[in-house]
Amino acid sequence: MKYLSVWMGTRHVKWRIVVAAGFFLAFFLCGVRIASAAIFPEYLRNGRTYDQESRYIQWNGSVAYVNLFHRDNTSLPPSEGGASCTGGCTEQVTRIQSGSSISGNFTYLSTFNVQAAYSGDDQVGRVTVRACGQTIFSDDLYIANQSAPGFNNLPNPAWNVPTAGDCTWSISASGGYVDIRAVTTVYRTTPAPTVDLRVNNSNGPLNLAGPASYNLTWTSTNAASCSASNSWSGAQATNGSQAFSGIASGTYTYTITCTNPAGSAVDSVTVNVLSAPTVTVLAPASLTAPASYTATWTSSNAVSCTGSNRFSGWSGLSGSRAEVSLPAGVYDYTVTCTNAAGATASDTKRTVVYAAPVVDVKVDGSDGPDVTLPGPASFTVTWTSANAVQCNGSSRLAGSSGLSGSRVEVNVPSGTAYEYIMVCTNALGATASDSIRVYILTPLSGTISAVHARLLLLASNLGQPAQSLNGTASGGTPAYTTIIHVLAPSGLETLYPQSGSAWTITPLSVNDPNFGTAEEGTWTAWGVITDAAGAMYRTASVSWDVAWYPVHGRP
Amino acid sequence: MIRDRRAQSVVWGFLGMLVFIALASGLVDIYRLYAARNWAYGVAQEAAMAGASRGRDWSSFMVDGNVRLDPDQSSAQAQSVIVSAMSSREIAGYVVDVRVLPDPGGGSIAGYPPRPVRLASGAGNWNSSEPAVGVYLEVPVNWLMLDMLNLNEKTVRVFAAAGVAH
Repeated sequence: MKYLSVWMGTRHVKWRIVVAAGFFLAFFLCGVRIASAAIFPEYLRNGRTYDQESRYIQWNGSVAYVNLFHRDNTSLPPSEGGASCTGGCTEQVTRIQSGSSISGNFTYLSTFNVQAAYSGDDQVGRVTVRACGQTIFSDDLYIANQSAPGFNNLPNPAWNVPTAGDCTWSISASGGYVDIRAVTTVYRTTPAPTVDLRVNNSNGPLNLAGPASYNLTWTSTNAASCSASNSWSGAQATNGSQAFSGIASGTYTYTITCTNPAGSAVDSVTVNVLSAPTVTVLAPASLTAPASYTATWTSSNAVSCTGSNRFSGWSGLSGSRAEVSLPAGVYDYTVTCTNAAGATASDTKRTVVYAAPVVDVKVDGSDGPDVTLPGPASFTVTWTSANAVQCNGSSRLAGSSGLSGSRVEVNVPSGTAYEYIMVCTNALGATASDSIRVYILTPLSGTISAVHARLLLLASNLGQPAQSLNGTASGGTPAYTTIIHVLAPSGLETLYPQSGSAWTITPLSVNDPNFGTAEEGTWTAWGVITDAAGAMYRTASVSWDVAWYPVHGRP
Repeated sequence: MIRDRRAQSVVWGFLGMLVFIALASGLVDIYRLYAARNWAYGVAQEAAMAGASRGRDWSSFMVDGNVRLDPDQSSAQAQSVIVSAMSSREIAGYVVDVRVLPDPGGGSIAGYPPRPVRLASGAGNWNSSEPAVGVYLEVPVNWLMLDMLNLNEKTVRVFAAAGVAH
């Protein structure tokens, strides 16, 4: 500090200002704040401040340190050994040339005076001490025939400072130099200070949405001075307020320290400037019923989210809802998210579920898919649609369009098969199709025949053949099921199911060696044919005789 | 006188016994003749039934619906029954004449059976309206009394027929 004071006291003031500005800028860019930088020189301490403590004293004009031998009731500063100067001592003191001065600041003082040297040197001038805007002492320091300078407290007794607030002090020389070795203060005796710092009248922590604006206010009692630190800096008034605006998101801690000679008080308040919450809802814009999809939402910078509409009852910072087979309709998904500062963000997505297209093709009112008609046939094919914007036909309906329509077929011969296809599309491009096939068939018919027109009773026992039946089924709609009815002479009727377009019943196939020969008399058989469409046909009957020729004796 | 009467009684007693023996032997011979005739007739009837039954030509029926008799089969079946029966009684010297009317409408055979037989109808000119088998049988019979009279050539003659009913 000694070298710094010497450096600051030399000439080339402009060059020094540039260097000082460079250091200041470097400190600023490095984020370092010197809390006391706002008051320079610093407030005087309680007690004695020697002239070499340059942080408290500012030189103005031609001022320099000199080694001065003096004899008085003082003692050297501790930095110079602290020896008593009653018998004389040499001390480095501050010499203020005429027209120059030294000055500083103090606050909360009770008394104030300085130590200046009376001297027999005729170069000594008048000292003028000013404080709090007034001259508190002025005297010519020359004393003729004084062998060695001697320092005295001026004024004596010390000047009672009329205010507890901030004051400036100065010592100036006129008509010669003035030697100064110390200033002496006595702080007021008061209770320890208190300070209360609030943000927007709250002790915080306060959550605000960014960019934030808020107001810091602080009040103190018994404070001699206050200084700011952390997110702000510099000396502050003992009571005051400061507005902040446009503050970006982040956490800010404001600390104020108020001091007086009895101690210090610290208060802090924290402001959380929060980023605005965001929320994004994702849901498909449009679908065709039955629609199955998942609507989701994600958020950031939020502490809670609440759903509404289709998300009603849902919460969480993110989530989803699976929709299954939704019918046609309009579905809104809304989520509102809130951050810690209470700022909200909301997002809504709408999903429109279009009804699936429907088309129905009929042949003479029948849906098919297969329709059989006896030929030659005349019939009408019609189609109707719903929820469709366009329909196009193919196969037998090729070239047909329109949301509904018909086609008339006349005298379609037997053996013909037609297919009618209509495809309809809704606004989303979803398609539905219906088709129907028409078969023009020959009438259902069939035959039945017996292999033997006559048979012997229980023929297999005689080594003779039993009956066998053959038959066919045709026309109608394959496949065929034929029930063979065999009626015995006694009236007993037995059924034999057969399938296919040709069938045969033999004693072996029905596991009856005497099939059709178990009774004497006339047997009858016929078939009842049923096709796949349910049509039925009864064949003509076939009969055969079963005879027996007994032997009898003749007299 | 008493002696004459005794001698006379003995003669009469002896003659009476002879008469009794002759009468008894005659009755035995009559019975034997009757039994032989019945047995022979039963054999002939069994043979005719076998020939008609086992000789039915079913294949013919399957062709046109009319039942016929296979002459060879019918005859063989009838002969077989007769041979078996004769063998069981160790009878030799019997005479068999089997005839078959195979057609559905039967027919007639003149001069058959060759000799009139007591239990056959239409003897000597056999006819039938249906397929039939006829069996004529001559079986020799052993006599008890007539053999003493040197009449040992006595036989029984029977005829039986069986037909297939329509």
